[in-house]
Amino acid sequence: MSNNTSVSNSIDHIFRSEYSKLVSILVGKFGANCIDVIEDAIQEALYKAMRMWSYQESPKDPGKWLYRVAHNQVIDTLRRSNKSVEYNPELEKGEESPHSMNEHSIDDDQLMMIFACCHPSMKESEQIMLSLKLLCGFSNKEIARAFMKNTEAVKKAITRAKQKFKEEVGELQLPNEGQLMGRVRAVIKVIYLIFNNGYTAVEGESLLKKDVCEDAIRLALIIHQKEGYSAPELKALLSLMLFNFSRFDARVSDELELLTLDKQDRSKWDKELMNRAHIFFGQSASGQSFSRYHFESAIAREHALAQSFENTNWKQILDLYNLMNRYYPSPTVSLNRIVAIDQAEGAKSALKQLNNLNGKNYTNNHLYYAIKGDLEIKLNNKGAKDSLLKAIDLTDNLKERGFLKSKLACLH
Amino acid sequence: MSRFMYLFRGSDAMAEMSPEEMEVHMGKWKTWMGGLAQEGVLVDGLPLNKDGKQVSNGAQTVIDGPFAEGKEMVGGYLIVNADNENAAVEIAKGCPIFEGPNGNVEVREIMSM
Repeated sequence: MSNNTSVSNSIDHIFRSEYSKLVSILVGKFGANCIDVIEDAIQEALYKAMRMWSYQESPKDPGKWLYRVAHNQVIDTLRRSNKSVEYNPELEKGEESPHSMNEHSIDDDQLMMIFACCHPSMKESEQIMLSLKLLCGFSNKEIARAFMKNTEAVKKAITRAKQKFKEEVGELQLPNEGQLMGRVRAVIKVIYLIFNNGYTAVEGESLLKKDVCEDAIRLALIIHQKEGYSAPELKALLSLMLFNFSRFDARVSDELELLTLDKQDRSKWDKELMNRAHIFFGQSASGQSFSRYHFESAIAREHALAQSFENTNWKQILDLYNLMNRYYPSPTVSLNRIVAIDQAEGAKSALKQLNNLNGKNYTNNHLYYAIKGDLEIKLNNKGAKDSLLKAIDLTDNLKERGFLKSKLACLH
Repeated sequence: MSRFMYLFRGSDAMAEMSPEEMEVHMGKWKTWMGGLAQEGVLVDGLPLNKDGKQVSNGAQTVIDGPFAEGKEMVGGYLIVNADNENAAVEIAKGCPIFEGPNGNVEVREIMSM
């Protein structure tokens, strides 16, 4: 496994990134209902490439080579399947390289494909799975491994999504002006969820999860670069993702334990990514609209600005959580706000606010009890033991459970 | 010093790998073969297309491949220099084909005068 890791760190992800380009160009050319034939053809082309390039130098332009092989394979299959309705001899043109006719760029193909994978006929979970499959080039197994899901469940969701993809998408196109911002917003949400899936969940393979995060950023940049498409919330999301991603490696200890902000070595934060995040943050403030991404990005920025955990401007962070709590309330926001109150005003005030929350929303939330227990320990409150026991009972995560148990042991 | 031919079988299972896995696997082949080349062990080698023809029956019959079940099919070959058969076998053990479920290397000495 360690061997695996070192090799995959040194590779360029050419296959994965070409997968998403090829699928976009070929669906653009042959239509969404040919998606199965197209996926098989790309897989075949990659397999061929893997075998040939193992023995000899890969070609100067691997993308062009892969395109030619996959394109011919699609033509071949369509011709053999005798679907004369779908097969149009005109399509054989443009075999040499994508866009020899120069109709639109590969980025435009990918952009249209992003909208197609987030088609409104699909459920959000299906949009996420299909995007990971077709836009990020992950296999069902990898999606399952990255997100600790059952491979069969992933496969079923993708099959359902692909069925809708075939029936509803037809020809790839950009949304018309009236729908544009609504569609962009839906895509932004999917990218946000993909990134969060890769970033926050503790389980799953770390290397894969980093790829997931990188791909979410790549997709957002494709939309951002299209003139007229980059809404302020997209810039806020880019800024948020880059702030968080700059800390990706610093979040994991040498023993592969997840480190919280107070335990991270801040010199390991990627300054280059942070600078880009600051720039997007500045740009996101243009225009009238603001979004939850703006708040989350502003909070991530406060952490980025702090020289140390102790020097963090908790007052400012609390203000931001207060606003978020008003405009975008959710149990998670409320709990994060409690943590900020603890840092800004102290445990007594935080516990009081926590007790004011509607307990019904948190009956199965282990974080609620973990935070409660933590505050009670700080205040020498005898309820701490019960809270920690409840938290341990509610968490499925072994590492988290171990962490809580060690806290409990300190109480005795 | 003798020459040996490696015949690789069982790489067909890798057609199911994900794009990323394929690229990782390819990187291992490149590393392995690059090492052999550097040590002067590698003479030649290429993959074989999975399609082909079989000519038989006094050259009267020509049939399409495949010639054997997927895992039996020769997927590629390599020619190496080695002191003796044991040495050739030891070198073959480093081949990344063994990552696959059916990976198999046949080691054969090339006859010489």
